[in-house]
Amino acid sequence: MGRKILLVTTDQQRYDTLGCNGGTLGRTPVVDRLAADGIRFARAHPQSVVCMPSRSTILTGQHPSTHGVWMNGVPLPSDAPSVAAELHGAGYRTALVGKAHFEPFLDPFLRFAENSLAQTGTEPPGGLHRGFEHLELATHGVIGPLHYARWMMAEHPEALGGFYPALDGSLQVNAAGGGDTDAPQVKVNPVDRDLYHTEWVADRTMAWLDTLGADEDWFCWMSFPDPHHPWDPPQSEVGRIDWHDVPLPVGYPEDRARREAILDGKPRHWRLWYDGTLVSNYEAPADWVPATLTPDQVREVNARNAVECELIDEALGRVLRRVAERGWADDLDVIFTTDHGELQGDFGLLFKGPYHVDALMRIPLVWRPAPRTTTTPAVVSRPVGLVDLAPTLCAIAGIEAPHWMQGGALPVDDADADARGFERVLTEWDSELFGTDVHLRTIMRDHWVCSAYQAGTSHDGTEGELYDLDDDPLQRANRWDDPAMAAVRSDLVADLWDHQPPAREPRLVLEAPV
Amino acid sequence: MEMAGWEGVVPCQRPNCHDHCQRLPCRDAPLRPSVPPHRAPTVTAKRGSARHAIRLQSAPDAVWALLGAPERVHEWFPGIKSCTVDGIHRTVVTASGLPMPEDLVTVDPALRRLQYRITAPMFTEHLSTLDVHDLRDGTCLAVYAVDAEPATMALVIGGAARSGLGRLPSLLGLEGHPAP
Repeated sequence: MGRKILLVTTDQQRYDTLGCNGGTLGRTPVVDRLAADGIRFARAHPQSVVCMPSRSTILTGQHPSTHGVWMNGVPLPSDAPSVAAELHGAGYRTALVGKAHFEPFLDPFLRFAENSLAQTGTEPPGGLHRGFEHLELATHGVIGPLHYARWMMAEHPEALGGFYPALDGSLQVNAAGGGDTDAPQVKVNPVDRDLYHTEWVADRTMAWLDTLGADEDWFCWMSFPDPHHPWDPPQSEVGRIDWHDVPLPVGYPEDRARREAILDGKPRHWRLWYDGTLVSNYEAPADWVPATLTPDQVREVNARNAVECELIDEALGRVLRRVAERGWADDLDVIFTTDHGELQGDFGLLFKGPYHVDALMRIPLVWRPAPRTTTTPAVVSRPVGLVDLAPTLCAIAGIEAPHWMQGGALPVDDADADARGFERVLTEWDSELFGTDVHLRTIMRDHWVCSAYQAGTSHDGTEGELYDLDDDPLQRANRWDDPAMAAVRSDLVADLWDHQPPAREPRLVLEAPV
Repeated sequence: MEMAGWEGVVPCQRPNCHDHCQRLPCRDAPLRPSVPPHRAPTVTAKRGSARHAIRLQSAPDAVWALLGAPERVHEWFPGIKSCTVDGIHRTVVTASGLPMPEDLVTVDPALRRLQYRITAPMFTEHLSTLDVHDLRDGTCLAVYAVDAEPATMALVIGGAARSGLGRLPSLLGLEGHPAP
């Protein structure tokens, strides 16, 4: 009998939202316990800071350039490599419960399997989809073709109106404000906690586990849609954290002149978005101007986000108890992570976009190996990426990582990381939307984050960002044009280009906005 | 003064903008003159365009026989459950059950051009144009272009049309005869 694998992902969760990572706003005792018993990664980065490319990296073990999903709205080909298929081929039962998003959501023609699947059930035609034999899918709301939305529409139509409409009448990401502060993507949601998608994901995960035989090996990707906006958790839980008492994040420069001076030191699209002059992508409300963000709105968004993180932690605790009841506790590997971060007030911004700073790039990653392996708890400070998850899953299952995986199995401590060359982690961004394009490539190595821009609507290809995380952990001082940093910059840029992954040919096409 | 250095600033009029935002330039304002644009910048457009094409190892008339027949759209365009044509009016029902009433604007066999507008309320504007070009070397080029407001629908419809164009070699029996 092999090790069981529970891969837990959230959506758009910052590193500092976990207690084990120093977070103080929300309580996350379940993940904190996993970290204390296992391996906590202090410098894990996604290979893209938006959902579809990042999730495709988790599934394929490849960088976005290689798997080809360069932005939300570019579907991952149905025959793309999949770690789930590898595990299934090795005898694992496989399931994905919650948010998949390898294919576009906005799909009235139901062209994509994720969207059409819920019309027929939870088992894909042909038996497998991307290596999963069971899929029950959800996203951030109650509209659309996915399983959770269909269940809510059929069983609890009275609750639908409580949720925030993610898109507005123009099918843009909604800018409407709500809550106490009129913050964007915030809404008072009277839905019963039991009906909220966080609980549904845990419930459906447990229901699937209940179908398995005690001796079967299994891999379940439990994928929570939260704490991604909208921030509309069940109102019954919002009182856990009074936003009035929430301190402003250290990344939020409250003084406006200071804030804008920091933005002006970065490539121009930062300030242009802040001012509402340039919207480069579909990842934030086009009709919202970040410069309007107030300190109280930052507080309320952070409070609601923390509540959503608490609910996820508690839902995970329920699933782990069920695993223990099934007698699998000693055999269970748990990996907890997310697809990317959230600006959440840093630099006076919310949401995400082409901004390769810790708010979006430094993500929570905890691996609690199966207790029977007697792994020594550790904190890994060396850089790792989501690209390393697929080979890790293979290693847990005792199978060799296929040649097409580009990462390596996660190190168990810094010495292991050094021995196996975990020196750098790469992140990339390409967006092209109605005439506006932005392209950047980023390397994190040693204590540096270095981003090189390629020519686009707002950049001529000479711009960049360079931050010294030791001296400037908030990444406020861009050293790209600092003559004293010329040698460092040159070395990092050369390293960045030397390690670019091969690009998929032909390039995949944007087929939907998200 | 915050506005120093700006010219022609338009106060923000959007519903979600208030308080100090009224003193800021909105998306329609010019860029800061001290930072010249690399290329003409755009904001996220309300109206979007998309265009896709496929070159086929076929005489154009054979391709036009399928693409130029309004009542046959469900044969090549993915995700259409049904299609009815009544004069210039066509109604398709998508796989998700969404009815899409359309007006046929142009059906020109000589030009091999078909144009239609989706008139469903969710569209402020829509025009799709299908052209089949004779490349005079035994091949032809089928081009689908879409303009729509909301802009996002241009991507959605264009993406589906692209998938449909990709099915043409199979539907027309051209597999094994790739265009150069």
